[in-house]
Amino acid sequence: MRLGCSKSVPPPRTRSITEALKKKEPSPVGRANRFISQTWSQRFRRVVAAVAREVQKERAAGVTEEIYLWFDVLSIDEHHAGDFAKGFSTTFMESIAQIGHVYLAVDPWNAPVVLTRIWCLWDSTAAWRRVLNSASA
Amino acid sequence: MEPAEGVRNDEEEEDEDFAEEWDLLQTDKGESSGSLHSGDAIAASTAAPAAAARPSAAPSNTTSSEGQDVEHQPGPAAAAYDCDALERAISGLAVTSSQHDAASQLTHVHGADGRTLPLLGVTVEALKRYEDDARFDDDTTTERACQHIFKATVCQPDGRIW
Repeated sequence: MRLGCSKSVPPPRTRSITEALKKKEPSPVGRANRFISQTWSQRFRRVVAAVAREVQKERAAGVTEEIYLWFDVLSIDEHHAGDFAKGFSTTFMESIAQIGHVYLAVDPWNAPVVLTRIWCLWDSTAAWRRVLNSASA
Repeated sequence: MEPAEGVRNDEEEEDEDFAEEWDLLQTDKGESSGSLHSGDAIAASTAAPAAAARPSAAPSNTTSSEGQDVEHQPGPAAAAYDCDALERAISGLAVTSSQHDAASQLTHVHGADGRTLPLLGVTVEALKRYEDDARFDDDTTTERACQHIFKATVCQPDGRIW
């Protein structure tokens, strides 16, 4: 459903698909293959910086696939967070399992807030469950 | 404030200990590490081995370039994760017009409870472009960023912007 709200919506950039293909640029969006686990009290720029370092590390280690980050600030509208929470135990677990790789945004590194939040512990649990399931399969 | 030369406090020692341990860990893994400073944020990465596709995994729910659901997924969660709104969110991320094509390839997870969750992913480059465009200051939380993204890109059914 389209909503008539074009007035305040920032215009998308107009670089064309052809142009992107010519430059052989990867699509900026795609199916997520890395899940960012963080808390909403964390600083956006620090999370992005930490994630960027990790992506760089992966690339340096020879990972060639394009890395697509699942970041809740993009996918979860907090105005519907209540609805989302109802699917906490099943859909969310399944989504992490399908993404298959979790980045835990540890900040600060010596007292990570992320380990004090049930949601983030759940992220990690879901990731480990997938590891264990894969190992036993 | 810088401590006087030669004076070390416990926090510094802890920092150094951790940095050394971290380096050792990285060396064990055959990787070199960059330097780690007090207060740095790091991303701990947990990779799962590649798993076989799950038979119960959801079929794809695609969206056409016009944003129309090809495979209709009714239910409250489908509304909450409206692809149309996501497309606009991606627009806000300064992602190119190819977003429509990319969005059409996105798959959703369909939970046993009938809820869906889009597996929308963005590259780190797109994320950084957004960060630059939004000009968040260092204290902006991810919660605030989320509000910013959706306030800019999603509106109420009556057309009002949040």
